[in-house]
Order: sequence, then structure tokens, then C-alpha cells
Amino acid sequence: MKKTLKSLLSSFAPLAISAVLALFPVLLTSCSVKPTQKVTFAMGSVVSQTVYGGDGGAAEKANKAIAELDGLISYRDEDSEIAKLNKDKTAFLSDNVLKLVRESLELSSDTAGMFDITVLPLVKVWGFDGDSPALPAEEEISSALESVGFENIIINESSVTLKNSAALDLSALGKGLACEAAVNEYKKAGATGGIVSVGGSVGVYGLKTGGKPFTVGIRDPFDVSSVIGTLTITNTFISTSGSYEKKFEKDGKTYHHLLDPKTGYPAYGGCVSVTVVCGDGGLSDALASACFCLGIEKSQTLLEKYSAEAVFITDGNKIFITSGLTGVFETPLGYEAAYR
Amino acid sequence: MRNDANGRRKLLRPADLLLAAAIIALSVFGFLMFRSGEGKTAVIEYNGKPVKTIDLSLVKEQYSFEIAGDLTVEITVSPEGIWFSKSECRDKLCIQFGRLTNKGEMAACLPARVSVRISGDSADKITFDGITG
Repeated sequence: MKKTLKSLLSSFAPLAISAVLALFPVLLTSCSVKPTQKVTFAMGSVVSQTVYGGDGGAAEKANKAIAELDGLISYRDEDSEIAKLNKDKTAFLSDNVLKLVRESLELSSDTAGMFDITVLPLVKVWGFDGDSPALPAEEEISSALESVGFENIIINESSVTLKNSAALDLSALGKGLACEAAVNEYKKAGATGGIVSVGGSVGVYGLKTGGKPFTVGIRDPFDVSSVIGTLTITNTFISTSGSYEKKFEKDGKTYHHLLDPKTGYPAYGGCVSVTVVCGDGGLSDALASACFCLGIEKSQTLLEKYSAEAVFITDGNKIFITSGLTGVFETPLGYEAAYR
Repeated sequence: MRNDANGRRKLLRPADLLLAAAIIALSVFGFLMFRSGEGKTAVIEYNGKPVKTIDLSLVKEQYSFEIAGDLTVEITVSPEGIWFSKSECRDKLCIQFGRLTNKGEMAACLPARVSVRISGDSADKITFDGITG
């Protein structure tokens, strides 16, 4: 009996091995995780998500989290904490929103006011909050500047008071915060990887199929239909501020939306685009705006303080990167080291 | 079944090993063919909901069509890719995205709330998973 069984096994062994081998392609295919892809609209921006693994609901939960965040901080939403504060000039803020205001104030202090969440009156006189930006009269800019300045924000425990008719606008960090909110949902859902972009900010988490990190292109400021270089990266946040994003021309001169809170006119730090990589989503966004206004040299201390890295593209189309991005940033155009 | 020099029975003959090797080769070939044959599908969405999908491998000639979102946009498809060709929006940023050709690429017209993406996993392609800026 034992002999017969062994004989049978021996006869069928090649067949069994063949059957297993024939299933090889099927096994390989089933091992690759199909991502969930979603494109929606929030915060006045396109929200694009690709999520690998998890419970399948991560992208939808991320959309909800982004909407909730927008409901807290958007100055356009009259029910948001920020809109109520702007209207009443004094309000109690929730811990999360208060933390954002405190962090923004610290960044304002670090940049000697070049990053300022009180620029809303200026943004409005330029029309950059709507569809038809235009060159305002000098008097309009001077008048708006009277309300601009982070020293107009007074924090007393959990209450905030705005002086000199100041109004807050957290949109300089909003899209980065939204990316962070999305990534938090990916983690909670047990996703193995995910990438979210909200406007010009991107959040990357984990790895994609095949255990590979994500490739994030940096838009070419001189040809927005192409990229100027790539970052191969994961578990971080990337934001870009560029003068090509919102702009208009008047009498042969181009005016962009990144305003200098001191002069009231578009800021000039020698760059047309600054990309910041940082472990904190909101900070990546805020630092990109701040570094654009400050320029390469003055940005170095700031980037160091927040453990952030950057890619600067100058108006002469030269690329400078900080040392931490060596081997992470690639471009066929070549680059030079920034000061750090 | 054969016996070896010591009289022990061999489970696999040389011919079996040859057969196994041939099957492995065929399987790997089949897998690679299957992977490379995966079509690129363009997904056009309005407000996050799919309104049209196009298998780009089946497109033989370039053509255009309109999508009525919050504003009307025109989308053009060719065997090489898909792109926004006209839009009622003010800034025409959607058109500036240019032609999408690789899996994972995406363009959108924010005022029209219409997006176009080439679906699929970009893990095995030299392309971008996302774009900043």
C-alpha cells in the first residue's frame, strides 16, 4: 500500500509541479495591490489621491477630513472659526486652530514679517482672492497696509484679538495642512502607501506597489505643462510657491500673487519657484511662501530651524538645492548647491 | 520512473526538469506580456464622479468631445494621450497641463470641476505619482 502511494506520488510529481508553475503568473499578478485613485475639489483646489492597501475607504475619509479642516480655517466660510474672528475681531479658538495661529506667529517672527497671516486686506485690494486681479491704486495699498502686521494679533490664553481691523488668512499653510490631514487618514485606515496633492502641496506616505517610494515632479515655472525635476521620496510633505501660479500683466509688467507684507507689492527674492520638503504639512506650505519672499540666502537659517530642505529656481532659470536633497532631487538641467 | 545508480527511485527525470524549465519560461513570458498589454484607460470625471472612460489602446485617430461641467471644456484624445484642448475658464491652466501620456498623470479644470487622469499603477513606469507647483 505504502509502495503504491509512493509510486503514485512519483508519477504525478511532474504534473503537480507543472500545475503550480502554470499558476505562477496569476500569483504574481494578484500580489500587486491595485491602488484607489480619486480626484475631487476642495479648498479652491484640485485634490488628487492614490492610496495603496488599507480598508479601501481611506481616500473618502481623507476628503471628509480636508472638508472639516476647511470648515475650521477658511476665511471664506462664514461659519469657520477664522471667519468669525475676522468678523468680530475677538474670539475663542479651538486648540487646533489656536496652535496654527501660534505657529504662524512664530514663523512671522522668524522671517521678520515676510510671512504674515494678516495679509488678507492686501490680497483683497489686489483681487487675488477672486478671478479678476488688477493693479490697485497706491492709496488702496497704503490703506490696506495699515491693517497688515502680525503684531496686530494678540493671544490671551485661548482667545485671540485682532487690532487695527486686521483679518487672518491661513491659506498660506492650508493646502499643506490638508495633505497632512489626508495622510493621517491613510495611516488610520492601515494603508501601505498613499500620495495626496492639494493644489501645489503634496503629501507622501509609505510605499507604492513593489515597495517603491513616490516620484514627485516639480512643475517647470517656465513651462507649466512640464516638470523641471523630480523628488524620489516618501513620508514627508512637499509644497511649492511660484510666481507663475496667479498672475496678470499690466503695461508690460507681470504682477504675481505672493505679496510682500512690508511693501504691499509682489515680493521679489530672486526666485520664480521655491519647493520646500518638510515633515510637517502646514510648515512645508508656509515655508515655501516664506522662502519665495526671502530668497535663497535669507532662507537658509529658516530651513535649518525647521529641518526642511528646498529647491530654488531663480528667474535666470538656475536651480539650487539644499544638501539634504542630494540624491533625492534629479533634473536633466543640472543644479548647484544652495548655501547650506 | 527510473532508478538511479544506487537503485533509488528518482522523482524527476531529466525530461521532467526540461518540461518544468519550459513552463517557467512560458509563465514569465506570459506574465510580462500580460503586464505590458495592460491598456491605459483615461478617466474623465466631473465633481469626482466618472462621466467617461476611454481605453487609449483602442483609439486609432485623434478626436475631440465636450464635457459640460460647471463650465464647458473640450477634451481631445489621440493614440498617444489625452488633454484639455478648450475651456470656458478664465486662466486656461487646464490646457497648460498639456498632453497626458503616462499612467498616473492627471489634469483638471478647477472652475469646470472636470478632471482627466490616466488610471493605473505607475509603480513600474518612469513617470510621476504627483506634481508640486
